[in-house]
Amino acid sequence: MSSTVVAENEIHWRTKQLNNEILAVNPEMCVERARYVTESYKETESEPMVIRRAKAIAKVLEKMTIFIQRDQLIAGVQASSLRASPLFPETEAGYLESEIDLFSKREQDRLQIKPEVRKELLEDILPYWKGKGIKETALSAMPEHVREKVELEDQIFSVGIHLTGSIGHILADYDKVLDKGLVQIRKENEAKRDSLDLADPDEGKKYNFYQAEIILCDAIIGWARRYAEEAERLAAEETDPRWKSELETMAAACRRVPAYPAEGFREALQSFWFTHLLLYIEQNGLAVSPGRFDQYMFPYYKKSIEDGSISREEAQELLECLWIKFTEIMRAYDYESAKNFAGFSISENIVLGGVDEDGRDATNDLSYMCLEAEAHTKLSQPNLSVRVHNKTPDRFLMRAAEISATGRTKPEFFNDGVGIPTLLSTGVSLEDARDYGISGCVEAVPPHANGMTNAAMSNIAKALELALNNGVSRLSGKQIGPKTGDPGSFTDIEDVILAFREQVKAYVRDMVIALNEIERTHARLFPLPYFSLVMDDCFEQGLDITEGGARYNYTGPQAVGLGDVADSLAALKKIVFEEKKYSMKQILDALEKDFEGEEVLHQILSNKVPKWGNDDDYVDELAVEVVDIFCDEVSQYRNTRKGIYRPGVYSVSANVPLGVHVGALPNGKKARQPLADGVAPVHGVELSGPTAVVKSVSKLNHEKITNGTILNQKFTPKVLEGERGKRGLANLIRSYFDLGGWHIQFNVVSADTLRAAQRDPEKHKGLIIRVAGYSAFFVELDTAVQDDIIDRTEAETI
Amino acid sequence: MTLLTEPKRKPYNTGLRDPETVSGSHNRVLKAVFTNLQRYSLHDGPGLRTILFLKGCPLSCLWCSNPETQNFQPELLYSPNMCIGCGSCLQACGYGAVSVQGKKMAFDKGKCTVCGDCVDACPTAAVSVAGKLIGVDEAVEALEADAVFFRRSGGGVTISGGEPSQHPDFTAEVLKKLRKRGIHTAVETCGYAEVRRLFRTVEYADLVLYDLKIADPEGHKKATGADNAVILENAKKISAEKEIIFRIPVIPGYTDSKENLTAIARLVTGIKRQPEVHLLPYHAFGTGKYQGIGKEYKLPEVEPPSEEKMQECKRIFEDKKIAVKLL
Repeated sequence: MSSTVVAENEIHWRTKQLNNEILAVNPEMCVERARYVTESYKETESEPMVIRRAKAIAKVLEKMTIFIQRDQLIAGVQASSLRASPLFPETEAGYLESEIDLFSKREQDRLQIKPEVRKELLEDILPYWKGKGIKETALSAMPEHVREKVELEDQIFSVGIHLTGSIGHILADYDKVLDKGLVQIRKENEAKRDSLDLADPDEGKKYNFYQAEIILCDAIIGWARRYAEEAERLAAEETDPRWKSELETMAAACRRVPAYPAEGFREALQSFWFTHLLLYIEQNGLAVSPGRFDQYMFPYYKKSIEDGSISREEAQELLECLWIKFTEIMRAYDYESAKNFAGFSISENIVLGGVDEDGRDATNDLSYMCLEAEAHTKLSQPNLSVRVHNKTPDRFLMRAAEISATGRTKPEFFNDGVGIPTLLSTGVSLEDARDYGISGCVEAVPPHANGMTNAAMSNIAKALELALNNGVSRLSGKQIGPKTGDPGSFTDIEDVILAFREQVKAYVRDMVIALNEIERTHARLFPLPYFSLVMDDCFEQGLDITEGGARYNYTGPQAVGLGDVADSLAALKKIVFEEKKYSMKQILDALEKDFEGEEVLHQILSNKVPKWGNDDDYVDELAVEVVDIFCDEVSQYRNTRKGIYRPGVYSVSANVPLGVHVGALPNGKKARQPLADGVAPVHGVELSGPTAVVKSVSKLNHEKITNGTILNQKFTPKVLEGERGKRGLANLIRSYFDLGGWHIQFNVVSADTLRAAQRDPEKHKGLIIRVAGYSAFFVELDTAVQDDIIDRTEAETI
Repeated sequence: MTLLTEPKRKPYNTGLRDPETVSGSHNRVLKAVFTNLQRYSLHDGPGLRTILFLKGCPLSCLWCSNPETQNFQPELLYSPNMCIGCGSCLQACGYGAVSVQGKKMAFDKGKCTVCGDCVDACPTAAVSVAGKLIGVDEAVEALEADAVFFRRSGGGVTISGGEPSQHPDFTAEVLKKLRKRGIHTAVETCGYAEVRRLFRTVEYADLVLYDLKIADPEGHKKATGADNAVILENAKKISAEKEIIFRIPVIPGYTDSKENLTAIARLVTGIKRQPEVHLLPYHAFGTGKYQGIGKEYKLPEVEPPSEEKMQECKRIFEDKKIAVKLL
């Protein structure tokens, strides 16, 4: 850690203890959820799917082990022990079986598995799910030519995330549960059910929807009661008077919430956590995000402070107990996804500050307290964001910048000046647009939305490779894209761009066909009655969230490889078409040989042509065009939930595995090397410093990139030291946002620190790195991902 | 950007005569030789700044971390680490100045005319030229690229070097234009120049960063190659007219003695409007560049001063009620 933002002795002992305990866990698999879901499924085969889902979750809640961690003031754990991963056979059965002995050995996101768990999975649980999973069902429903694209080895797009996992990426209406309580919500569902005209075909089909919600309300209230009983049992046995009394307080809270409206800050935190946790017990999609936590929790905080029922210090202590719990959420990714979304990272995004519904600054006391909770803990979750606008208090931005400058790579910063107009342009109401949160990494999502904002990672670098090889993959020799012409006959950069556009057009269309089929499969096999319970519009419409019950419905695929494509086009334009130093044929031959024996040309392409990220219009204009091509293609499509497709330009850590699928490119990238990260320049070419990077990126049409961009800037600690360093960062943020940028985040570690962490992970367990878009423990990352991070050019201002 | 191809001149070392020819104003087009334009700079004036490093300095301080800015003429900079030994430079050189030395190259300074042909030919940027000519308008355009960052941060442009007073008219004209655009302007100077010329250099500077090193004339001469009487005299004159910050590099064994810092503090207290003092700890980041231009780093091995040592130095100024900062 480069510097401290808080003195050790200012951190509460409880925070330190819980923080250390969670870091010490060696994660393992918990079989309980898989067991009870499977049992329930076997019992309900003839029932409607939404009822089966509700009953399965109800059974889990009724049977799962109730685990209370000593000295943790907030109750509720996802599985039977701390930071164990529950299993979701609905989507995971296939790879749980085929990769079962890989989990404890793989490079990324290792999970221990007990022999008895392995046995139960293989013998009792997984056989039931053969042929029933999302993946095989969705694939079999796809047209053959699309299925081939999905299953390609050197794929152009990856839709795996929703083949092996649920939807995720929503901001639930937490305040609904906090304000009303489930007893009231249950009543409202009953009333809705009873008011249906069952003879009407449209209304009749809603009957089971409400029925499922009622089953869930009862199950959740019963589950919270189990926590109350367990806390009472432990309290009765406890001899330490402090923990005894804390258990009693916890029990009292669990007896009241989430059944009834939360009375004050403590109950609100407990009710919030139950509500949030259940989203991750029902399904395994990632990035189910708390959103504007400092806004909807503030009234409870204010009330408790004003009526004297809690002091600010007690509130901070409770908040930090919750803060640590976000890192408890786990899931057992498959091998490939673990590479793409490295570090067990779930991306529970909390966003602080921003404007309120009237456009005034919304920063409050709780916003500052959340920053302090972040400063006091050293964990990968929550994924913390700060919304910045012209009236953001300087003190708030400076404190956020200061925390961001300590090597934890969060909070991240978002521009209200881009986020709000962009949402408005896609039909969101002003009130909802101003109330946006971030679902997962960088995707602005209004409340009441089913985001599905990380629908796919697509490879525009591969599209360029195909454009330069008449649709044939250089790696496999197969024709996987349309024949866009012999590149040797191209006489102008426009010819190259035209071929690139045709390749993008073709793969985007196939990707949309695949994604729509996946959405239909989820609606059929994996409806989410609990998600729907905590989304207002689903209740009003009696429609499941997977069928379009939310107010806003998005599907957001990403483009990866912008830097490589822009630099490649600039290189061809300059060296082949303008200076004519090399012929197109010479370049293509070198690409075909992966620059073998062509080191001089390789170096010229790497070093002597304009590069994206240096505030040079020559190449920046090409980057703008590339992004426009992708965005225009994606934005024209509609999803299966009467919603829109939103294009994004970010990679999380997918730039590494996607790079493996790409052959040599004219920017000097060799075959299978990583691609550029998000909208950032290719590693090592940003020679003009961070302001130039920011200026280049700000030239992109951010309003068109409706699913967001990631700009990841890495600094050595020295650059950010002291008052000047953090003020510099704050000013960089404000300036980037003046220029119209959307998102910026900072990696603030030295390469040496990271190398040391690679050599000696035990000593660096708490070291957090942002793997483009979210945080993860560095030592849990794949070696290749670690290497990639280390190589990222350091912004030196020595 | 064109390379300077006119015949080489002798290094212009006195700094006290003939202010115009180096800047080239007699050609009517005002130009200067610069080595680097550095954006996102945090330590050379307020806010986020862009620094223009001009080439040519009348001093040659032992600890100089920008040795490529000392000579006035462009010179070849070779980074063997970047070199792949492809021989492209060898083929490109029309003067026979390049030879093979093991897996790397060697450049004969005597034969090299700094024509830049090898630089164009080099595929890796292992060979470059330190020093390119830039005109006033071109400089202004490049320097205001980060205007939005300046506005937000209260930053601006700093002309440094080398020594800006070797290019007085160029510096003044560039800063004049930038100031007209509402950009904050600063000059960093060693102060070793004829006084009218120094005033011309800082004419349009909102802030002067004025380096002070060694109070003792003998010691100063030894370590920097120049006499300090002019520098100390100019310090008083400039500070009477301009907003000024004195900057002292803390070089162990050279500038960091109590006597030296006390003497400098005494000078500062003598100035009416009590300027701020900034202390810059020694660092060895520039040593690699000496090799690159074929120069010898003459400073004996010196460790950067410790945090405590810096605090100690700071106290000397605080005791005299001088506003002092560590950079």
